[in-house]
Amino acid sequence: MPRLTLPRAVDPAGALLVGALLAAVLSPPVVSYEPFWEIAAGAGYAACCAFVLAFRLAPVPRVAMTPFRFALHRAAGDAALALVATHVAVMVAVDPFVLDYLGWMMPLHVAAGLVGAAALLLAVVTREPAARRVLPRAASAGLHAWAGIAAGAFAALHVLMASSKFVGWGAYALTGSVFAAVVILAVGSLTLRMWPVAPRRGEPFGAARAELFYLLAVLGACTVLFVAVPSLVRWLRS
Amino acid sequence: MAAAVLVAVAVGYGSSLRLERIADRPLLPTRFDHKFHKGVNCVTCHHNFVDRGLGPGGCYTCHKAWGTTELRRIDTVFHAFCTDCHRRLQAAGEKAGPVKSCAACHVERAARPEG
Repeated sequence: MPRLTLPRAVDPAGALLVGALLAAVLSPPVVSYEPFWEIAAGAGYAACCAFVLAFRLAPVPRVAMTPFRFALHRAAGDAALALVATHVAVMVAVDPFVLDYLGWMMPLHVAAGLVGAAALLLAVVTREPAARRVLPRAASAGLHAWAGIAAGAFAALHVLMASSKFVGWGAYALTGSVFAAVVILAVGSLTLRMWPVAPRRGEPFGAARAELFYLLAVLGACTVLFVAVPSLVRWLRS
Repeated sequence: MAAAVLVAVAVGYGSSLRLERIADRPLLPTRFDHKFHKGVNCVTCHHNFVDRGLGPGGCYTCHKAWGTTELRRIDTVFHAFCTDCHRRLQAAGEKAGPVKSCAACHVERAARPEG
């Protein structure tokens, strides 16, 4: 069995932003949802953390993309898509009334979530080797980048409009700031060639499995925290 | 320029069509038990008896007829009417009703309890 090493903080700013999301959602007073909705919400908030990590590990112009960063960026993006799919699937499976919103009664936050999910799917699919073989012009790095940025922006709108957990303006401001930071930095990197996230000195060239494991473990731990803390609060109140 | 005009027309038409659909749509029934709300003042919810002298009548019908802004917001307003109070109580550490789950409050139209 390979010896596990301590995870390296690939991007301290990314770790800080994930910590800010945890604080925004879990800081008291805590509003808890009904059991299965807690799982759906937990998956959604963990998807936000995956978004942040994917943005922070994305390639930028003029900075060489190492296989290490590429592997982590791809893992974060795929994890975000899986968590978004879980978020939607749990809601639809448990609460059939949710489907009533797919129509003329669709509220803005649902529309924002749907557009964001579609943009994320487009961002992931357009970089898959099969898509790049079939549609080489459509499956471009530019389309992937802007679809990813759109996904982040619409995810922010969805969370800020849909979350009933946020009590008071502090959580809204913190969550909005996290998303604004990553989206603005990404747009700035692409359009103005500013603020690239450069590889750090001593960063490995290739990604070991342990690094990917730690990234996914961090996201898994975030999911558990997002579900467990409000559930515990609900249980204590009952 | 032409594309912008087309988009504006499409959005306007879609918006008016949405209002028609909302106006035609019946209220999704809820299971509501007054025994869980004994501590709440009656006019907190039945505000029509004190606000503008609206008198008795269905809440949904009145809000639908009130104007296009109210009609457009009807889903948000009715949900917030209940869930905002539940959320405030939870934040204060008290037991409260549902906050998120649709099925916790709503029932199918055919299964609506009598009375």
